[in-house]
Amino acid sequence: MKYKLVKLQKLSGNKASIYSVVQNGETESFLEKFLKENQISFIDKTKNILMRLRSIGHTTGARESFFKVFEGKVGDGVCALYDEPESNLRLYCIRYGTQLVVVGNGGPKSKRISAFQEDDKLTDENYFLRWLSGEITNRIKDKEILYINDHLDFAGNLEFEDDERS
Amino acid sequence: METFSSKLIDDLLDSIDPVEQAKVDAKMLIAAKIADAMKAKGWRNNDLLKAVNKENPSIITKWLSGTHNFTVDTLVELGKALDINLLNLSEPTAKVVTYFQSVSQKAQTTCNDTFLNDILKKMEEQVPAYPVGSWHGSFDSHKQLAQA
Repeated sequence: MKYKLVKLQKLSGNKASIYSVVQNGETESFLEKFLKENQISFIDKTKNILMRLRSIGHTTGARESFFKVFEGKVGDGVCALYDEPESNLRLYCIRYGTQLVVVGNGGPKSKRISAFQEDDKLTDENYFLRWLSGEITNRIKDKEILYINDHLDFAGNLEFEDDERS
Repeated sequence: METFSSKLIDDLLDSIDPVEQAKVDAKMLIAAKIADAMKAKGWRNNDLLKAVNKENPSIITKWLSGTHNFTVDTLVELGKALDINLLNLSEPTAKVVTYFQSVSQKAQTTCNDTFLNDILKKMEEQVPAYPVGSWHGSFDSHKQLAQA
């Protein structure tokens, strides 16, 4: 399966860029899938998440405290955006400093479970971002991906292939 | 990098009341201001916890998450603890703004046969009589004055 990183224009601003992932052959980004999957049951919460992402892009930048960190492996930057108190809608992201965020998918985390690994959907979305984070990190090390525009953007090869997912 | 426009995201963003967005922005900006003040003091979460006499460390995480709807009491307590102003309640003071405007205009015509021009011409002819370096004036400036 092939994927590419795309920059979400309306959410990105001069404080941070918001990227998401598009699967080969599809027209929707992972963020759009998240919104579609959850906007009927959680319309206010999905809107709140969009407002927070717009705020991060245009007003505050992606400060670490806005994210629930250590949702992935040590040092891979996988985290979840904090949403409204009492809301358990998880949106998984990879954070690169305060100026760049890659947004994936997520879903509601039931209060009946303590760890996301108890939920197949959350596990799948979380582990996809762990894999993607590893790929991005390797390409940054190999200089196949560079930070440009004062760390606001990625440049280089932003297409990825995951043989195990095909 | 490829930029991506999404009708779904655009439609949802367009449906958001600007006041609601402003509320979210404010919560996140307050959290950012608290985090910046902590950093300036070299404080960790526990230091702030002690400074505001709280016991549950999760309250600091909540305050810094940018999702918390702060009460005025909490903002005052945090402001005192961090030496910052999270509530700008100062009375607006009247400011005096002074504008200066200068207008200048060159004389449009010069009169060649006036009595004053004759005097200036005679004075210019006398200049070589002064030793070099001792003359600090300028006939040009006098002439311009006369012409003005």
